[in-house]
Amino acid sequence: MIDTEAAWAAVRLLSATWEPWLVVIPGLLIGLVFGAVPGLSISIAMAVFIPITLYMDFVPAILFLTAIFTGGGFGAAIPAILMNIPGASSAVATTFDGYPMACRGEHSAALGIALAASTVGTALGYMLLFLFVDPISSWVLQLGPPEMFVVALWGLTLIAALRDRHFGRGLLAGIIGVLLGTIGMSSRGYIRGTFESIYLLDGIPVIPALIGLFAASELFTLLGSGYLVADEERRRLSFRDILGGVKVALRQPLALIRGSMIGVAIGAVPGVGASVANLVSYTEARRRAAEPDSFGKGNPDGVIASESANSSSEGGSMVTLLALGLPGGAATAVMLGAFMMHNVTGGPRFMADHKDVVYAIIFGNFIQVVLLFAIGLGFVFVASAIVKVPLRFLAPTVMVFSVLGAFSLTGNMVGPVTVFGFAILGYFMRRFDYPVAATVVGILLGGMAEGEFLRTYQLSGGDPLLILGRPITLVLVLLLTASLVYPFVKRLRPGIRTSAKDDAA
Amino acid sequence: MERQETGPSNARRRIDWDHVVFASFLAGFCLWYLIETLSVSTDFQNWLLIAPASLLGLGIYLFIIGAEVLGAGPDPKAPARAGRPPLDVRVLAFMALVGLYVISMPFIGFDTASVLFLVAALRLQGERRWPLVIGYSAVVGLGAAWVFKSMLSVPVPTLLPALQ
Repeated sequence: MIDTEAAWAAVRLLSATWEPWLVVIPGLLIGLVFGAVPGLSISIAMAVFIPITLYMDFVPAILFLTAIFTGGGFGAAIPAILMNIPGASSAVATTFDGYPMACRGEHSAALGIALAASTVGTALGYMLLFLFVDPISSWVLQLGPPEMFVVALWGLTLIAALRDRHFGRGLLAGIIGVLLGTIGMSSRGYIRGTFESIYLLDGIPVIPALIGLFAASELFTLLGSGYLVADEERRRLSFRDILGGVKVALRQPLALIRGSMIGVAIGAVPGVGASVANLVSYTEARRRAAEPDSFGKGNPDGVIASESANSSSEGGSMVTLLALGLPGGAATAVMLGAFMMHNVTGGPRFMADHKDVVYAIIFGNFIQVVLLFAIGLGFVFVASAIVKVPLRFLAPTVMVFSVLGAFSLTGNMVGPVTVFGFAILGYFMRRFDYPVAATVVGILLGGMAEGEFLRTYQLSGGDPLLILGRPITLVLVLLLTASLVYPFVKRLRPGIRTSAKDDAA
Repeated sequence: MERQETGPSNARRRIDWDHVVFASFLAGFCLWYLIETLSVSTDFQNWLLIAPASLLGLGIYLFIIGAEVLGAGPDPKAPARAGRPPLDVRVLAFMALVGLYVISMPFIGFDTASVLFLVAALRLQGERRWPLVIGYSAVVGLGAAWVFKSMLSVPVPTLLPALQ
């Protein structure tokens, strides 16, 4: 499984020159900044800086881009926790518990938890990549529409978990999101809900919609408040609290491992990635929790689940990139561009002929993880100063960056208009206790669920027994069913134990 | 409209018409989208997800409205709470400002629009120190446009020659 000769060659490759290490720290910082500023994104960062990599050798170039990827993956958690504004779709679930923690004045601890979970998740993701890159790549090749549909369905079940006090409102919010996610041209070629506009052919731009629903509507809600943290006593920067948060996360090894495993598995699936991984991981953590109702109110386990999964999905997406030459999402698509710039094609041939390079990338990322922790500690300490900024300055500033960022994502006014429209919708949803998060989940997964369901139907010719011939689908369906049934079984178990005691008496 | 509860044992609630209107808006979207989808094609592969989802949404809407209009008893799990606060005029004004900001961008440039938006937003929220308002708005508004245009090469339309 592990080619020890290639591993030693990789070590020699990395230690032969300082060049790879000069680029990692700037890469991490760039990723952190782009992830942390609402409106900027990791894929923008990678696209902007990819020309620089032309002057680097292949390994330093990839290490630089993966450093941006890694930094951005954690950076997105910072506004998610401090302002309820996910810096990327991969940090949506981090807002559910990270922001309530921040409102209680536990912002430093929440950031520490997120940093530790991200660091461990990234490390575990690359560890699994190192150990299992060949089996994982052959497994990925067997995935098809039925499997992808089950994964999307798994993520959609989070809608039911987000119901809060009003089950009907939560479900309606999710359904609205699913319908919005299907606007545009379907994979069958049907064009729905576009008002004859070419700008909506690809559907509603997801990130601007997310920015509007989460960020802008939250800013409307915060208007009139003085600061993000009401209590002045709690509005302080505390390195000790950040380290305290790190310890909290490290005391939950099972949660970290579970989130990381989910992240790697889902991250390895092309086109799915971290935006689904954090939702599925959060759903699972909530279902297994002793007190599921504590989720959404500032339970650190929610932050651990989300951040460990979205970070480890980087390792998973590198499997498809290196072993299959397939990009998993926008960021890995940019990395594929870097491959092409250096006349490298990922895939089985690359894996066979350049295993030392693959291992060098993996080992380089292990070092990156350590550097992320060190740099991240300093970065979150500085970033947490945002709680001291009066909201009357913060709110319009964030709005400007959000609108500009939305424009940069779409390249036209559709982005800013989407932000505005969804901001209005998000505000009134919050006002009437409709969970915005449910709509976001629906938008993220609705289109994917429909597309994969459609392709499954076409593959099977309408025969539902197709899944019997697909063992991976069966396993995923069983896992999904088990995760849905588990909370009910857990509730029944005290009753069974009680009646057994009665019988014994 | 605020809810009023007369007591825990025989609580009677007035209909929350604001919520009814909002829920009707959401249901209206479900209905419109269902009709729009079916008008594109009645092929099963077109509506296989949308039709069930829309119909389920409409069903839930009826359930929500039924609960409002029939005046179900108080939710025992709900904490004791005051009525919903009235809509803050400043929030509506801020929404309008954001709308104006977005609409004006293509005409007066992102740089100018951002500066004007920031000035108006700061004043709306009660910041009275004009030097700070103008200075902050200029630095952030122009700085953001410069960062996106010059550093990130995003082709944002700008008005100021220095940012062309």
